[in-house]
Amino acid sequence: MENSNNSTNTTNTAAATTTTKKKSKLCEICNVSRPVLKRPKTGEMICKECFYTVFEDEIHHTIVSNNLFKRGDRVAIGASGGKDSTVLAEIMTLLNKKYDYGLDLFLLSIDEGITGYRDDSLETVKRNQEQYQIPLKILSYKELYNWTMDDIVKEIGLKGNCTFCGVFRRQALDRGAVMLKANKIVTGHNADDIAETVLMNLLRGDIPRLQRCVNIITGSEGALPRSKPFKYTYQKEIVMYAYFKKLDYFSTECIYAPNAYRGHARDFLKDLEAVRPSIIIDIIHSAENFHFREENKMPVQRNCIQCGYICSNDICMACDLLKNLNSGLAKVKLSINLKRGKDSNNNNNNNNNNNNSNNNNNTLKLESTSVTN
Amino acid sequence: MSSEELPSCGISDNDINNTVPVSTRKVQITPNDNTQCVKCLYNVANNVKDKKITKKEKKEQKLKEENNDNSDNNNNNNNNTTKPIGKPIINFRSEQLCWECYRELILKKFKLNIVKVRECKRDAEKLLVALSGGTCSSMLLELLKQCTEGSGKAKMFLDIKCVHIDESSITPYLNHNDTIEFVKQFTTDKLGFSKIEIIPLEDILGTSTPFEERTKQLQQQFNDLSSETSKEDLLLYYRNQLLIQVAHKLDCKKVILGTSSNRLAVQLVASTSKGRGFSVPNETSVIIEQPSNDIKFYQPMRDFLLKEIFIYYRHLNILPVPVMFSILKLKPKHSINTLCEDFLHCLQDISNQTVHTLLRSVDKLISPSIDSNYNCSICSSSLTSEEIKNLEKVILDNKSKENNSNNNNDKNGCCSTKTEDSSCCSTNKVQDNNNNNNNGGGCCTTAQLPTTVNKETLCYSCKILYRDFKSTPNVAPYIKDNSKQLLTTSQLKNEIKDFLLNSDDEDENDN
Repeated sequence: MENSNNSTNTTNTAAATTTTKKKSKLCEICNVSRPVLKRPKTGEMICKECFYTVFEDEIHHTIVSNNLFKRGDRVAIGASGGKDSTVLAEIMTLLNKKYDYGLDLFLLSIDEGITGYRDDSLETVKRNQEQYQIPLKILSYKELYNWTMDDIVKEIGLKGNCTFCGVFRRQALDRGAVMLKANKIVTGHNADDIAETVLMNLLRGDIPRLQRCVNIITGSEGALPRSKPFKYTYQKEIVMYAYFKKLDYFSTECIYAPNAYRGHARDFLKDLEAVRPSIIIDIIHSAENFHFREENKMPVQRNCIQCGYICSNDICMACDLLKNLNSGLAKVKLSINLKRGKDSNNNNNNNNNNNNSNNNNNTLKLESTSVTN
Repeated sequence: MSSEELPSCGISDNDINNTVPVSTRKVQITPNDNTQCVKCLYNVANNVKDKKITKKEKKEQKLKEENNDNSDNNNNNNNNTTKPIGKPIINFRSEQLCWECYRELILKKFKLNIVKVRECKRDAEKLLVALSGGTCSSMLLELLKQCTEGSGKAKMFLDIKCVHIDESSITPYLNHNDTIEFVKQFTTDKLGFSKIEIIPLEDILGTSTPFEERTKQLQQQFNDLSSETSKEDLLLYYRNQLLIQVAHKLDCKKVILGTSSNRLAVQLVASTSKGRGFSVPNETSVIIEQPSNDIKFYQPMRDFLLKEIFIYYRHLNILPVPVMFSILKLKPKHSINTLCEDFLHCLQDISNQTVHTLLRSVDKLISPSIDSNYNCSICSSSLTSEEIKNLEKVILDNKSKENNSNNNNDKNGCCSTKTEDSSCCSTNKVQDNNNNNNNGGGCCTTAQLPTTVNKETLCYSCKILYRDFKSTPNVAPYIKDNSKQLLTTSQLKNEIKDFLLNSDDEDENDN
């Protein structure tokens, strides 16, 4: 009897202490409600409402301080149906109303034609369209290039397919935006993506891209600047936002993207983040403060003689790849490219092009021209 | 002084002379086993013949030629050689070389870098070599010795002084006595240098107070840091600062470090991760400019991979490196530095170009000097223009505050007034009087004894480090001095700024 009494006593005191602990731990921002989450970026214990406010305010601040938009801009949101772009669509509509940006928003999706992946995610985008009541444009590789990714993979296999996909998607986004008469594109690249890209470009020695990849606006010299409102937003916070807001998003990796090298970098970044949460912002800060030797000149921009798209050669990358696809040479050419890539140890040079902003892979371009020559 | 070892390589005394793996990681070397490459034999034979015919000065050219026609099948042309064909010991950048050729090649490459150190060829160049006791710095000293010993034109006039910084109080679990013993033996007995300075890390706190007290203070500082990353970084900054001090004392303008290319690549990734993007190009180049003073650091071992260094050292048969090193003995996930190291070693195992690619990347970057007066108080790298602007803004704010509240000793003043510091108060007072004069007096300035460090005088990543201190840290006096100096400088600049013709970045870029 005594024993049990004792034990109950102790449990009581334990419970008491925990409650006092809980009481003492209030949201570090509003000091009213109980915190439900630890902010990945800062480690603060905050409540849900405060998280929403901080999250939204930060993005608002990024948008305002970088002058991303002007009143009356027609902005196409690159929407894949994944978490980043879903949250982007949500945030953009929300901020547009809240702070009265005066923007016309559009959802723009690219259908690469990947069965079992893109068709499902496009359903999500369609649901998003209904939810946010903004116009949606779906543009497919099939109608633009007369090839689907499924066909391309059938033709060239699983090596280098991401090159095609990335090059095509870049251009498709631009073309879609033109169709929507949009003058700006926003994409859902987050801080993690950018930090990862910085590391990747360092590891590959890809200086032109290293220069570009931290710019919040890219392609500003062209008619269609792209911006990344999530540049300083942690991926974890995006997921958190989507989770708490119960947003409808699609979370499956592309079935054609086996990307070992980037996978390494991603794991590495996760480890680093575990040691010091600010590391993602720190990497971006580093990259923003990189100064490049003058001799690293950026390639001169001109227009593709076939389709008029901005590029740095006579023929743009997409036209070039397409030509080879159509003439059945793609595999041969790609294998040469890959071989060269291996020589210089840039194996997975060309994957996830959407992460890297401007023109497609520069080195690859050089390679392809030298091959044609 | 760099802790160049692989984290888990644990070179032991017996390892060096045997055919034990150079590191426990997979390193693609051909060790001294039975497999011999015939092609190498040809190459060696060819090489030897060439050397006999030509003068030493043209060796490099010959080596290049040899590299180019490694595919041809010249049969054993060693008819006029006195040297026997060497056994291949290393796959040196796709060349299988024997020890003799390898040694020559290494020396060649090393000389190319050490030439950059020499400014005037007539007088002996005074160099301070920082020895950690590890393989890389030992090899560095051996190579330098060879440079001075060469005959005729090849001989370099170098006045070499050695220093070892004893960090035993920070890393008590390591066997420092062995290291020190080794360093002493190596420099004086084996290589015949006259003397080596052993400087305890405690000297960073000055030399006036008793040693034990300083040890305690130093340990306290490091214990106050909550993360391993910051501990390692602070140690590095202290070490570099001490090296500068020693160099001043010994009247050397040049400090030579034995940092290998692996380590520099790791440093590149780690520093980038820590937000040091502005200064990392400087810190990873062969010549490290110190914006705050006239001492330069050199890293002539930048071209050598760790495995190349290990092979070389093993074949020298000099002295076994003591079992040591380092803080890195802990779990790889405990700090950013070790994580980066681990990551890069993995990548290097996958593809042995990783390190080279990284170093080539950083070659394309520069650290512009914005204003040589504005340097981080802790790591003494130059501040970015943004950081300088922030600092100047703080100074301005403080001034207006001062003017507004003359009576109150504003706690948020340019340096928050905390309790006085025993270690450096005397100097503080003197300089603070200067401060007073500059500010045109006012009672509040006397109250602002800057015994703590103003955060605005730190660079981005040192701010993070400083935030890592659990309590208000009692950091090394040099940091406080620097911080105060910097505040004074920018106050002064503020006073005269109306008369400066172009106080903005464009002008200062030229400085």
